[in-house]
Amino acid sequence: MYERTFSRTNPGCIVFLLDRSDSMKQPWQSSGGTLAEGATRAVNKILLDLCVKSAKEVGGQARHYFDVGVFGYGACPVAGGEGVEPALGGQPIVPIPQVFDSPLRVETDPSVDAVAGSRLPVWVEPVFGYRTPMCQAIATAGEHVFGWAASHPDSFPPIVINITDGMVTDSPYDGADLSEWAARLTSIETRDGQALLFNIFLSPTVAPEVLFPATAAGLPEPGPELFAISSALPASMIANARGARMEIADGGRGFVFNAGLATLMWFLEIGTRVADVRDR
Amino acid sequence: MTARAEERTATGRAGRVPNLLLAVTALAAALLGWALLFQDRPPGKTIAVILVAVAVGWLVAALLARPLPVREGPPEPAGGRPPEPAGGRPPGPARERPPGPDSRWSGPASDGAGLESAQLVLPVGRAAGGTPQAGQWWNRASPAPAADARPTEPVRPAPRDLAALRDSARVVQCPRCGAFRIDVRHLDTGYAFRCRVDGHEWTWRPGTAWPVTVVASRRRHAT
Repeated sequence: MYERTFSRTNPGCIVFLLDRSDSMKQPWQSSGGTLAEGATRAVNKILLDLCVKSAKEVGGQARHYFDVGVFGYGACPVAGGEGVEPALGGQPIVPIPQVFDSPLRVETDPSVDAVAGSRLPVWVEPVFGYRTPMCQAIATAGEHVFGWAASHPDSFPPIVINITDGMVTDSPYDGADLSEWAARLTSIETRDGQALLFNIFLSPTVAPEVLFPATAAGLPEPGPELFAISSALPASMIANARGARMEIADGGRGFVFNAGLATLMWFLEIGTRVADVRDR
Repeated sequence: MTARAEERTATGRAGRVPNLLLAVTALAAALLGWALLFQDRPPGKTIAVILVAVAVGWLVAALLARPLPVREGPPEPAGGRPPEPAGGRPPGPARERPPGPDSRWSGPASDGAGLESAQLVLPVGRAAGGTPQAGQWWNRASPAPAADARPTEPVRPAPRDLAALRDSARVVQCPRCGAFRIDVRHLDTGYAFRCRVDGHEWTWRPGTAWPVTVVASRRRHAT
């Protein structure tokens, strides 16, 4: 279980569920931007990180080690109104070489921790509005994740990372509540295990962060609910995190509460790093 | 049947009345002509001609009065009503139709009676909060039966309770020289042993005493 590495034969699937509700317009702690801007910047950075990992040499073309998807929920900038829509050029799940070749633009990153120099490709734009249809996001993304798993039965199971700042507003959706939707999503499996659902709760104000907890004790709302739907970190990810000198208890779940920008980046790196890609 | 078909059927009914009127007029004209021109002929032959003419005229009138067959799908003539999707909704998959404040995708169409006649089959969007059009993926069979295909643990027998073997296990040792290189044969009544070192042979039957091994020290033999 969870022992596969990412290869061109068996690529991985990483899907981001990005909260685009109205509350994402709030300033994000001391980042100088809104929650929406910070979250999209982190997603753009991790997409670039995946592109760099997939390239054989510096500056070379990315190879097909990953399929990625970004689903925004809340405001739909293309279709208009509230709902869920793919945010990567309108496509649900895209091979990383295609992502590599088609950023919306390349802009200068003002931060000092840019992944590759100071130029950061932008694939996803910050958008906010409406409510938080998280269940619908899982339902929509789940359909594509299901299809992906069916066509990649020997790959590492899909990793779905949900970035949100608020309470779900559409539970129950289609007769099932959030926990049921999460259970449906994580019931998707490859031969290497079940799909993983990780959750990141962003806090607009400075508050104590809780990283990879093994229990929901002491978490304010909506921490316990998000903790309950978060998958336990596989051993390989725990090893990666511990290798980065991060303290994780056994049984720790893929969940961060009150994450700041730096923690969000850490989380995305840990949550998307299974092992070094191989067959280069 | 589409609105277009109904329209054509109505047109066929409207055309039946002039044709019947035409047939009756033709019959009346024939009778009048007979009265004026053929009154001096033998009545039997004239009546036969009239009846045949009436029958033929009736048949032609019936054929003319039959409504035209309705054909589906021909393009509308220029200036006609443009084709319209069901309910006035734009075609497209449901997943592209977000439910929410914009009720274009979820509420009933506003064109009212037009819906009754327009029944073209198009991809129908889901109502707001309804089932995703893609289907219930969570109810489908698992794409990869992980339980069957996963590398399984090697099958091992359950650990045995070694205490149960304490009274039954025997370590065979030559009772004369103490060697452990022993050949064993199963007999009907027990076991036959032969020591490969000194060739000593003996038998043992379950329930009897295990032969006592007496090993003499080589040093003692040497002295």
